[in-house]
This record gives sequence, structure tokens and C-alpha cells, in this order.
Amino acid sequence: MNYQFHWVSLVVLLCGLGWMVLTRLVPTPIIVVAPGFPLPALEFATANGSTVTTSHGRPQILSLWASWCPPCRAEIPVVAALAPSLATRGIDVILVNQGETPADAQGFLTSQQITLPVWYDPQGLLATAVASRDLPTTVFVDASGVVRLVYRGPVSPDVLTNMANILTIGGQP
Amino acid sequence: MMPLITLGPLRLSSYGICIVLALGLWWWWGARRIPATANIDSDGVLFALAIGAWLGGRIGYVLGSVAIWPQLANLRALEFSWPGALLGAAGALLLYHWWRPFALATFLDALTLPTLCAQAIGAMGLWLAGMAVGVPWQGAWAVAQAGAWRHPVQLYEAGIAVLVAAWCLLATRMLPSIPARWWLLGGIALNWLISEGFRADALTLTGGIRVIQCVGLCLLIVVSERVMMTVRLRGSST
Repeated sequence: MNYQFHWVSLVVLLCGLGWMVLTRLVPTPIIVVAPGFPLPALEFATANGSTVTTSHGRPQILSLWASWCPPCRAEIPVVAALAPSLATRGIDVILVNQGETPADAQGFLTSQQITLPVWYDPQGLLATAVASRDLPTTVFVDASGVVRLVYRGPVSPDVLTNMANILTIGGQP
Repeated sequence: MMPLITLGPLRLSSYGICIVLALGLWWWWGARRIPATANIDSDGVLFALAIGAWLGGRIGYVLGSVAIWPQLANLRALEFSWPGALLGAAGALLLYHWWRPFALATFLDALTLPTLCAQAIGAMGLWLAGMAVGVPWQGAWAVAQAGAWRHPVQLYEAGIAVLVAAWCLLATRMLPSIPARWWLLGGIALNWLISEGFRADALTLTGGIRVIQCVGLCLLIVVSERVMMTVRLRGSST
């Protein structure tokens, strides 16, 4: 009877491990959200206390970040460096802070001389809307308000450039 | 689908409504299944359990999603993780038992079916609200969610909970020597192991192994050992 006791548990263990390996997530930083996912109207605060709402009309790159998040601190200068060229193509780049106050975030922005517009999302509404559980996350929204790509993890200049082409010219991510 | 109803300061989403329904059913049914002879202050224990489950669920939900840590302080929100809720409830149960000892085993056996039904209702709420994202898939019963066709992972969780509840009903008649609480724990562990495997937004370890699957497998091994020990003891005594 002792043998049966061990064998059953061993079979359970091996089957469980097999299933876990079979279903493991491929460790890539990207989860693509296909076209056709409209970004809901969300309201955010700005540093001067006013509120802004997500709007259509121009393509937007929304970068979800927090000052305590090391990958975000590495990513934001990359995004900021490309922002002027993106602006000339009619694309707005906006930093959407997750869960902090302007006082918390301003120190980092000042130290990095970041002058991009910053929206404050104390309840993580945007993260919830795009089903993202990671920071940083970058959301690419076209001029009609449709989310074209949700990029989880630090975004590279290549991804920004490719997505800028898709947002302005068209095509698939 | 979110929110469905706005009531003053409250915005009730389909998920929130399902969670309230699940907790209500769990409390009402659980209180009626506890035998009067067990002399358990059922309302007191269920209240402690509900508080523990809510706190654990909220903390577990937020800790598992770095981008939504700020939502921890949003007390009006009801989204929570089932594993967190179970751990919170277990902590509250042990604390209450330490404070005022009661027939813990009898209590857990009585709560088996209500807990599984509450899990199924909560998972249906996840589905209605479009939460818990499945991995992309193009199969026959794929659902459109977050811009892609995906596994309906919430329905898998609800379905497994219902199947485990049916198995509990059968097993308590066919194998009366094995207490229902072990089927409950085993069923929950099996559900985590299977349904979590279809989630795209799971908290993962290095190599893409999902944390909840690891917890589920460990719990399943414990239950397996316990059930086999009971079977062995029964066999040796007859």
C-alpha cells in the first residue's frame, strides 16, 4: 500500500509539471493587441490640477510609467528623444503616470529634463483599460481612437519608429 | 459591460455584481449547511472569512499586477484574485479558530459546495466584465477579447468549479471516508493548475512558469498525499 501512496503522488506531480511546461508563457515582452480595440474615454489629471480626457483626431503614443519603476526610468529618455520627430509627423507622445502625485513624479522628470506632457492616472484606469499588468507599457492609438498595439515592457526606438509609420501611413503591427 | 449600474458613489460592474452575489450565496448557503449540533457561531466565522477573503483577494489582485498597485487603496473596487481570497480566508479562519476554537473540519466540510459555487459565479463575473485575458487562440469556442480571439479562461474556471462540485456530491456518497474538504482543496488546486495555463496575463516566474500553477501543484500534491493516507488507513483498518 505504501507503494501506491507514493506512485499516485508521483503521477500527480509529473502530470502537473508536464502541464505547466506545456502551457508556460513564452517570455517575450510583447503582447499585441490587434486593431479594432477602441480606447474608452478616460479622464486624467495634469500637474496644474486640470483634467484631460482621451480624445480622437490625432495619433497618440501613451507611455504608462511610474518614477519608482527602474525600466520606466530607463525607457522615458528614449521616448523623449524621439518625441520631437514624432511630433513633426503629427503624433502626440504623452506620459501617463500610474498611481503617483505630481510631487512624486516631478523630481524624476526635472532631473531628466523631460518636458513631454504628463497625465496622472492615480487609479491605474489606463492599465486596466488595455489589460496591462506591467510597467512600462506603451499604448499606440490611431487617429480614430483605436488601439493598434499594446507593448508591454521597455519600448525600443525601432518599435516607436515602426509604429509611427503604421499610425500615420497605415498597415499592421 | 463595465459599469452596469451607477448607484450614488458606487459604480457596480458586472464583475462586482457577481462577486456580491457569490459572497451572498456563499454566506446564506454556508450558514444553512453547518450542522446545528456542531455548535459553531457560523455568522461570526463567516464574517471573519468574508473579511479575510476580501482583504486577501484585493491584496493578491493588486500585487499580481504591478501596473495597478494604485488600485489597492481604491476601496470601492471589487476586483480580486481568487488565490488571494483563498489565502486571506484561510488566514482569517485560522486566526478565528485560535481566538475561539470551533469544529474546523465540520465547518470546512459544510462550506465545500457553497465555496465552489461562489467560485463559479465569480468566474462568470470575470467573463462578463472581460477580465482575465486568455492566451490567443483560433479554436471553435474562442472569444473576442482585448482585440484578439482568445481562450475563454474565465469559463474554463467556472466549468471546472462546477465539475468539481458535482464530483464532491458523488464522492461524498461513493467514498464517505474521505472528507469533503479535501475534495474542495484538491478541486481548487486542480482548477488553478488547469485554467491558469490558458491565461495570458498570469504572474510568471523565470522561464514563463506561472506562479499560481506552482501554488496549485503544491496544494494538489498535499491533497493527494492526504487522500491516499486516508485510503491506506481505511484499508489497513478493515
